[in-house]
Amino acid sequence: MFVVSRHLRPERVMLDMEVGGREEAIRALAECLRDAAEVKDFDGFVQDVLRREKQGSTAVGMGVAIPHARTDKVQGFVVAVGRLKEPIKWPSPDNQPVQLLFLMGTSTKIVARYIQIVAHLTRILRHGDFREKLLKAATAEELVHLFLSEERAEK
Amino acid sequence: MKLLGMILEGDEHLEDVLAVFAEVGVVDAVVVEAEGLERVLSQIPIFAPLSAMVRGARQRRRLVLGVTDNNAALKEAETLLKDYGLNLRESGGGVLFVIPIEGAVFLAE
Repeated sequence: MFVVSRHLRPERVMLDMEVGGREEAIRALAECLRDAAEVKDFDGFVQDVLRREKQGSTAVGMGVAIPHARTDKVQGFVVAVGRLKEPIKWPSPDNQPVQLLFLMGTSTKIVARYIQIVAHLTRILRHGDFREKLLKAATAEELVHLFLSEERAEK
Repeated sequence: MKLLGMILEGDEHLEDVLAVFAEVGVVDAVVVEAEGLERVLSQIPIFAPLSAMVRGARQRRRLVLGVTDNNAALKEAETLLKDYGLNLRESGGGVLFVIPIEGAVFLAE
């Protein structure tokens, strides 16, 4: 299942981001979706993601957070991946600081598909060796290729 | 359209099973608290002495059910459960099954 790699592009990957906190990280990563065709209202989308984050942390443990919004400001599904230069504090189930971010937005009309993607992403990120590769990827292209390879291996 | 179901022994893998159901495209899974036949029998005096001999007699069980239009849901779910450390063919941690559905009407999301 090419669940994530189908939606991921190098221009939607930011490596070695230098940020001071959760909101700054989300805002900075969102910038690579500013011109995304799927995002109909960029500022509204970012506000919805930040609002969701305030309702409860989207960190899932293992140094990973999945800030997201189900919103009518997005058509279909969109994802951006960010890797922080240094892990930052982010409330999480295992109290680990976060270094990998997956910013996602989805139309309110495709909830089931959205849950499917989150479940898939959470599962493959449990693979420690895969996370290590993501943390070491030298370029955005390499990171995208890692997802493609991981998902191809599961096919 | 299929009804994907799993009879799960114990609580250890419940979250994993729900994640797998979501990943294979199940919409709105439900979890039903259940008692295995062995457990029920163990509460009937004449069968009680047998309960210690029956696997899972003391275990809590859950029935997880959900509808999907993924025709490969059963095979995919079995594979993904292995990734969570639940190999049904070896561990006997539950029963995964699929039932064809003739028709279904969904509430709009």
